[in-house]
Amino acid sequence: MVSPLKATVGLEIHVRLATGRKLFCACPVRFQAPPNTLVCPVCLGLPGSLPVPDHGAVRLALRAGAALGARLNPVSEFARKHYFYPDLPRNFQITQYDHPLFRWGELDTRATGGCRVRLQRLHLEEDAGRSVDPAGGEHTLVDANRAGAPLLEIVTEPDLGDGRQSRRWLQSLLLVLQHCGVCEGNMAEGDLRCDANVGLVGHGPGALTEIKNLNSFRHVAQAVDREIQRLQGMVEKGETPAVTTRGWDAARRDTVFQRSKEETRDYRYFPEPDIPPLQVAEDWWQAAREGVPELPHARQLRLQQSWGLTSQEAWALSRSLDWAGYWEEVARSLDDRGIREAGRLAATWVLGPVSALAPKGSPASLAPEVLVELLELLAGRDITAEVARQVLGRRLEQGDPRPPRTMVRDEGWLSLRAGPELEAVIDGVLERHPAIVRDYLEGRVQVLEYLLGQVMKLTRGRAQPSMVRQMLGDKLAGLRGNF
Amino acid sequence: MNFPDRHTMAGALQLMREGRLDPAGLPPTRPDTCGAVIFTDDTPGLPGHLQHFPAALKANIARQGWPTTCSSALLAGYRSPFTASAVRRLEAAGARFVLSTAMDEFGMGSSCEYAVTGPVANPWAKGRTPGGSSGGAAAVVAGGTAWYALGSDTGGSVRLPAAYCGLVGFKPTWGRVSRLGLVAFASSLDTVGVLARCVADAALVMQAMAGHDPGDATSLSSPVPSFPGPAPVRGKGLRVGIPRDLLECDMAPGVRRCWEAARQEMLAAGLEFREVRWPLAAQGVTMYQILAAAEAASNLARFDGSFYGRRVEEPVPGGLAFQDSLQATRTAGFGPEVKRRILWGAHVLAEGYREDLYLRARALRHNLGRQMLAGFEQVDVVALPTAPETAFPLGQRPDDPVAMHGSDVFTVPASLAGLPALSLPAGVDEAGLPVGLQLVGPPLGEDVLVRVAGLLEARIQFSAEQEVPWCRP
Repeated sequence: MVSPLKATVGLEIHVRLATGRKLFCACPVRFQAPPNTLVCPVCLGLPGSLPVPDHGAVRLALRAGAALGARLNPVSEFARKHYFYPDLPRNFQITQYDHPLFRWGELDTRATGGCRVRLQRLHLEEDAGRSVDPAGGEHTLVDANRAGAPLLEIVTEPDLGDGRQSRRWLQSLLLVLQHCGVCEGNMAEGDLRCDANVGLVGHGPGALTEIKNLNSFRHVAQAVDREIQRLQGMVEKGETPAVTTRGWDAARRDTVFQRSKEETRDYRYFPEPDIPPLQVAEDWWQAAREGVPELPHARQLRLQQSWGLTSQEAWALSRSLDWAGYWEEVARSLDDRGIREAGRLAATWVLGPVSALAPKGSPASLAPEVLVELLELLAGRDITAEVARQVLGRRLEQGDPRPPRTMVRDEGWLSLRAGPELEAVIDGVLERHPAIVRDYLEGRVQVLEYLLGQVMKLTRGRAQPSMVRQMLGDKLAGLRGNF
Repeated sequence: MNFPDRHTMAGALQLMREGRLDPAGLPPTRPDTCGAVIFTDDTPGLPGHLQHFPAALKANIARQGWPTTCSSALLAGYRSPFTASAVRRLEAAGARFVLSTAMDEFGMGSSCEYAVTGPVANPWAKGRTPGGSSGGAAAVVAGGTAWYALGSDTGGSVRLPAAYCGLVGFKPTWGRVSRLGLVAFASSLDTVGVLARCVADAALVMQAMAGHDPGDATSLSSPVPSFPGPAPVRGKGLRVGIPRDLLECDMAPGVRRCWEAARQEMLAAGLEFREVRWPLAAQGVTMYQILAAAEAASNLARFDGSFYGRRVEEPVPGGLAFQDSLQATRTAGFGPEVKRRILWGAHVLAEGYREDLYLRARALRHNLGRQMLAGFEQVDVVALPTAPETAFPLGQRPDDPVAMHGSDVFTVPASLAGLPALSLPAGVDEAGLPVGLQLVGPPLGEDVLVRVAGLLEARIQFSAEQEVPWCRP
């Protein structure tokens, strides 16, 4: 049996830019507004209307290009792509063709277990409206709310190999764009849509199949793998796959034929005469480069190498701009106060109780100074972890505004140090549970945990468990002599 | 000027300033007898210096609430929800637009015979064309129905009707007047221009509507200078270019005679002549036909009847298909000349033809522009006739597109290069029909054009007063 031919996958990704308004007019872009309420003469293509490019969209596209190391075309050009379709009000789309905003670029995630994918081009274009065919209706309904929404199209080289890799790389790309504030990344609202070009090595220089309009990561992975399987199957049977455009039928989990190469449309591109060539001033380009924050994969590496976090911890923090910044502030403050393993201590608490209890999954409701104060108490063994969790619960769930130090003092939560008070509690527990003490002395040492639990309960978590365990052990050893 | 001052806005304003005329003494507007008016509106406007002079719009310039039909069946009943920037600026200066006028459908034509409302007549001779495509606008100004009119000029559509109707037609530098609200025909060539009775009137209107508009990305941001007023200016030191290559084209004897007479007047006024070489200009019409059609096919793609305009629905078994409705709508809605140009425009951009036709024409246009600009290193303006002939009889050419485009040979070069140009009356031919003299200026040279045109206007014996339609008793 001959091993199947290697597949190549390239992606064409449409990312909705997070400007909140359309590319060529001031209409807002909003999901699920009543149909045809977010429209004006420009996005409806009314006679006499003219498109004026939105500077905000250009700036976001520049930042995306800077983040992806792309080569800027100082002068790019908008062009018209012609096809008749009900949801395309002008019957042409304003896009960029011969002279895109960027050529080349890459997103390389190999250092953190991903892959390197080169980018062919990045360009600006407007979205189309939406056509809806109501069941049983005679007419197609058109909603132009989306018409003119700002998109960044990113075209990759065929550097991916299968569905899983495509999906993971695409998730990384979206994360980068979200970090830059370029895209909100709301998949359910169609912030990212993707076409996949699938080819087989040795079968033509280009792709054999273009799968159109994949709107979730899962569909990308499934459709790409299914299509590779289909193409390989044909080759194994001695057939020659034709170049086709296909769609993804999620219900049947199969790609479906849409059109063949012979039916390729002639889009009759030509430069958009209503918009002068887009000249990017040097200060805009500089501002765009400066606007790129540390990207998630770079941050993950730094957190592992400089702060000793595990790769899971580093990734969990790096994937969220909010939490990564929050963690960093807490870790630096603790480190400045000379607390050992400050990064890991902060990571354990930020990724654990803080993010679990924080309202709306955002660190906004717990100032970093508060967490620093709390973790300092914990690191100094002034409080136990149990008490620290209680303080967080009070602050985040009950809105208790007291600073941790005050709360701990007021509530009497300071740790019980080894001393007469703790010894009295331990002695009391041993006296009340003679049967268990006997079990222990007869060799069932695991019952120590029960006794420990009793002590913790009576001290309401104020005793350090390790210390209590030590003291219980010592006391019981003393009793063995008497037994 | 060779007709009474009170028949022009500039003259009447001067008389009013001097207290010798009050608004009630202005000559009344006359009814339209040329079939030019397709819509009227008597809503009073804002106060301003233009308030006493009812004006007209070509039917492809949007005014809120008005029909903007472009004289096409496809846009029957369509009313624009917004007003063109040029119109807004003029209205802020008191302008009162009261008429919408017929045109060649979507601006495609040179005779005003391709209007859905029927051909428009020339007020000088009712059996003849007023020129196109702003023929209705020219007819109402020449006939005294409006004091001035806004038209659009893509390849000569303001200048040609101005020449045929004995008017001044002024097309600005591309980008000088906002195109927002002008229904696009060929965007890279389209301009909003003015048709007026004298140079000073045209300058008055151009002054009010020129300037940067953030609503048009191609609008130029350069400041607009003050155009010279009606006072005569001296010609000494001004250099006039003569494009020999273009003047070798055929022209009617009456046109040649007026052209020679105009040259003599220019010499007598102290203007200096220099020859300029525009060898590519003679091919301008060919470039224009390719480029304008390509852009038109694109711009007119939006007219499918789905969002606005007249939709034709052909019942199809199993439901109505978009493509069927699209085809039926465009087949019924567009006239023959528009269809001709859309087909041609789609062809010149189609794969396999694009390089030889569209891309080559674009490269030639670029070179022509450079040639024309080089000419302005030695001269202030270039002078040439506006059209090779005078108004031809209606019904003569509608089915002969090649002959129809022949009228544009002198006007398209300035359009292709985006240069400002002005046509002014230069006399009449043997049949008493007006002849136009065209001045082309350097980029943003509107003020120079006004200066030279004002000088020539004062010297050229245009026509006997009683023959000018808007002055006729």
